[in-house]
Amino acid sequence: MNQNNILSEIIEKFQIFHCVECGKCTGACPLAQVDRDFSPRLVAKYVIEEGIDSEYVKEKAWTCLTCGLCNERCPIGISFTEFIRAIRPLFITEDFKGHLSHGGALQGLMRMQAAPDLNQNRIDWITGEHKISSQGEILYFTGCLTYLETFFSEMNLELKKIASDTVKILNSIGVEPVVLPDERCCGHDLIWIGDEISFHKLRSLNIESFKKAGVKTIITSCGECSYTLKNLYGQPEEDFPFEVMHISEYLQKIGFSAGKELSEIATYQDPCRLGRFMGVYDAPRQLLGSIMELREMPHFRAGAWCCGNSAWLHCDRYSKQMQVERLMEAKGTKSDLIVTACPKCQVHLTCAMNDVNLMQDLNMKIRDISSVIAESIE
Amino acid sequence: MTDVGRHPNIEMITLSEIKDIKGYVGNFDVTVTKKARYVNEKECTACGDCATVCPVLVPDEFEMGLASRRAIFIPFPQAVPSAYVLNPHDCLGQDPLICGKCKEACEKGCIDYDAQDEELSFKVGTIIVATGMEPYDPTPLDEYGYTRFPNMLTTMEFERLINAGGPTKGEVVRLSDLKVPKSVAFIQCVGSRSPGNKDANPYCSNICCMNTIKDTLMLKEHYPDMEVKVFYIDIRAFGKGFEDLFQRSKGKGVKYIRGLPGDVQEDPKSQDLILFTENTSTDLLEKHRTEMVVLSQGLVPSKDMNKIQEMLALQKTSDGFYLEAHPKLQPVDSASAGIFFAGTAESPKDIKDAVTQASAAAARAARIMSPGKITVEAITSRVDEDKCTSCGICAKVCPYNAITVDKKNKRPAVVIEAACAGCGTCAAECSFDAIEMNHFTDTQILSQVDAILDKEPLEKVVCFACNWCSYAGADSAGIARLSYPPNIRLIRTMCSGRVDEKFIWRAFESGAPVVLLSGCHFGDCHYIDANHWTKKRVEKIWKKMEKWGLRKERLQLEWISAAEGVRFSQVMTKMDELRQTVTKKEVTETKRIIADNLKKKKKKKISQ
Amino acid sequence: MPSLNRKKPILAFFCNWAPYRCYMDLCRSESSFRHLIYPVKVMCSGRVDPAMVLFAFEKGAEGVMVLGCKDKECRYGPGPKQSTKIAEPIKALIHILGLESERFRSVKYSFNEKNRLLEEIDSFAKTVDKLKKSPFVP
Repeated sequence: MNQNNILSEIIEKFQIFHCVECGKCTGACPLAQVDRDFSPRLVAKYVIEEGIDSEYVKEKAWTCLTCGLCNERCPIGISFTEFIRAIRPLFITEDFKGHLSHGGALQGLMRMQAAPDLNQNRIDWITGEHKISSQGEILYFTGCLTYLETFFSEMNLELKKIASDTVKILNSIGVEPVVLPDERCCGHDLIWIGDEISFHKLRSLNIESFKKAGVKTIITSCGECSYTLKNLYGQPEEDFPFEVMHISEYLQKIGFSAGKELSEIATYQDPCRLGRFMGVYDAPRQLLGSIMELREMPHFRAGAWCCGNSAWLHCDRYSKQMQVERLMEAKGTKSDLIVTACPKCQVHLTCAMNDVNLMQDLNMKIRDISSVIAESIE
Repeated sequence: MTDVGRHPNIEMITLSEIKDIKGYVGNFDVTVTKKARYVNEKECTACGDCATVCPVLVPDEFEMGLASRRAIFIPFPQAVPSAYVLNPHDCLGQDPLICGKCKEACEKGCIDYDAQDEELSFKVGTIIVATGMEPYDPTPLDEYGYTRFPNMLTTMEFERLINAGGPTKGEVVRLSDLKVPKSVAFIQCVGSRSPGNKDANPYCSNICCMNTIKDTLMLKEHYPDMEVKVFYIDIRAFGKGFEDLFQRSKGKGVKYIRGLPGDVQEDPKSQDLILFTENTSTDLLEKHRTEMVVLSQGLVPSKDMNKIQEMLALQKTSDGFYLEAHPKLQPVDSASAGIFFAGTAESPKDIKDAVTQASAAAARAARIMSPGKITVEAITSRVDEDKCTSCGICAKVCPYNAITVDKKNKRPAVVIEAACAGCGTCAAECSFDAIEMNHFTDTQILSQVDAILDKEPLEKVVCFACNWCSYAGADSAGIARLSYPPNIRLIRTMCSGRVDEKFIWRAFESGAPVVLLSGCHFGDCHYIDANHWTKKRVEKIWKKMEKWGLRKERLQLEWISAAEGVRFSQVMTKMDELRQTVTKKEVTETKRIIADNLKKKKKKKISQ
Repeated sequence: MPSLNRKKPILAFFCNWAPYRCYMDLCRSESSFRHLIYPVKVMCSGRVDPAMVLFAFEKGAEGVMVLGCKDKECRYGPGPKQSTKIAEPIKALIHILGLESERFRSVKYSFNEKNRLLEEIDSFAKTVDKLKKSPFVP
């Protein structure tokens, strides 16, 4: 009974009744193009008509990538992704925690970081070349780079290099950021799979560390961390007196000037969270455009296609097909390099390139924007 | 248009801008800047010899950029007046003269490079505002790729292509290869019905469905084998003969697909467009390959509306169109006397409705003008010139701009009686008691307060009710035989804005336990927005009450409409319950506090 | 978890064949070791993925073992290779989390090595006991 009330409140809050059923959401959805059964419009419709017991909703509410293209196209302004995030917790029971890929290992790693008395070893990427501090106003939030690179060790992802390069860039402009050895996962994936309890634990622990270190500004190199810290940690505002920026936003803000020009031609993959969710499209383009030729894929900026996975849920033939389509778009620009601003995009697209059959057609260099900029200022 | 141009009783001034309008109904002073045409309107025969020799080529606005025109041109062959015009921004130069070819070519000698802008002034009795609309520019909707994909067109571009007088003489061709397409798709609701998109508009633009249906019929007539599809959310065919036209279109084999494309991709070789659309009738995601797409763009208010709005003190709705005085009973009147609306300036509508409205506006205007004199509102305000300090507050708060104050020269305020609607806000806001309201003077109202509270003041709730809403709401309650406590005593004012601070202090001073101020809901005020000033005033009074140590809940503010009889009785019951919490001791204390504070205030005033 | 006499629980994944055979032999002859571990049977050690090992640690296991058959002795084929493949990443991951990599062991047996199994379990339990308590509580 109580769950019905919660569901009614959610339906009202997200204006689901206002849907005019134009179907633009489905037309725009990259998942719908490969899974012809998937329709954001129908998910909303069945939630109204059958509640969360609907078989369709039980399945499709979890395959949604929450990439936000539907939000962008909806004329009414319904935020379908936030609606999904609001209803996922209603499905969680003792036995069901979501359809997790890799057996739930990644989510396990994230949940474990919510243990209060943790003594992590996550800053081995810091060497004598990096200048960092333990107290200060500017924090560099690394996120799960170390964990991801270790988990996917056979893919040789160079994710720790992202952290290393970001610190080097900051050092080059005279900033010695705080890097916290007891930093926790921001909790993005956990809240998106309905585990609000663990998310709040991580949030509290992180905020406490930030305050202890005297932080005022937080810089990240991950689109998801940026979005989570700024939008999801930021409520209520009194608890979160920090400014959050992605490294590209920070560099643009301070008028960072380019280093040497690079000969490679690049195409930029707008991450969902940094692009559509936070409206940051220009900063990365400005930075890259000043040091190399930048080409756009047919789906770019607000229309950029998702990298095919979200929150380590579902990794199936649909994910692969989406990733292949996206890589084909990248290939079609005849660029040498895909530049990403979120390690998740990098992981998922790299994984797709390892496809046994299509490897020749899909293989492209893929690097994070901080690595590209670091190279230009060497 | 030609009839208008030729009519002996109509003076048509083209190529002009309204510079300023001052005055009031029956006596508007209008100044117009008439731009130089550089061509003698009366002598020009529109022969076109000048354009033939003009070396300048610029995109033709009338042809939606699909063709070009010269610097000297006629917008379209049927233009009125039938004369060419020289655009000085496109011309190579007249001062100093660079080219001069058009003047040479003109046999009649109509071209004069020394022509100057003229300023015209005249008086008019009434004004009809018909500033029209503009088509919505779909470039911000990047899912459709307008300007990125050559075969993505707007309605207006399509209309020029299919028009026999257009750049392709009526042949519909793709802009990518100038071939006639085998398939055309129309996408509806472009820029309309989108409250969630800040680059588009929330309203329905009225005409696009029927316009598309008409376009589909024209296409089928010219190209019977063409595949024509319409992507829609709803087909709005509500007018006379509209449903029939829709059926005819369907009968010709035009496919109507319920669903709008969410993604458009271009085939790089053929430049065909592929529309990814969820067909909401079949719940299937479909890929529609089409050779040309027409975006059925909506309407937006014209850019010039703001200037006219400021000049005439008009209101706009949140959609950006002008606000009429009453949506049902006065659809072509503005709130200001003597000013009317017609056409799409007031809201999106088609030709029939625009013409109907125009006739209505003309009739409304004639109604005022034909008697030769106008009966103005009797309830107006008067300025006591001796007391007026020219502070300008009355002019600021007047919703009709009916008061002028020469602050610089310290001249007393002047009320334009013909423009005054009688809300009384000026009288209430004037801190020098320099404005008196005819028929609702301070003395009259204060006497009512005194009369109410003369005997047994503790038993009474004093309620100031506005004539149009709250007082009518009280009537509603009465007619519906709703009972509420008999302790309420109503004082009627025309508008809640009339209620001066001093009335409230007088009520409390005279022993009133509770005072209620009731007016119209925001947006419904009969006097446009006078109730905003009421709210501000009450908030100031509350602050004072708190400062002086009085319970501020003894002054209540409610918004009750004429239809809310039930709500009126509920509010009155609530007031009486509140009244019962006020003790005699409190009232005695209140009298003392107010007397003290008002004395202080007076002392302060005298010493200033 | 059902309570045993151990404050520092150890979870051991046994594959059904050689290791489990050793375990059964031990059960028949010795009982003293039983309180040292919680056994979890899988058909093949290759079935055990990092998610399961991490889950065990998340639920408070102080040590986790994966016991499988020897490289050429797996009746299914790929099991031993798979468990070798995940061993180092698991150790690296728990190290980042702040758990000592000694808390994880991946060992291979033939069917008749019950004594070796006993020694292994004993030594592992001793190793785990020397370490600080795990920060993870279920």
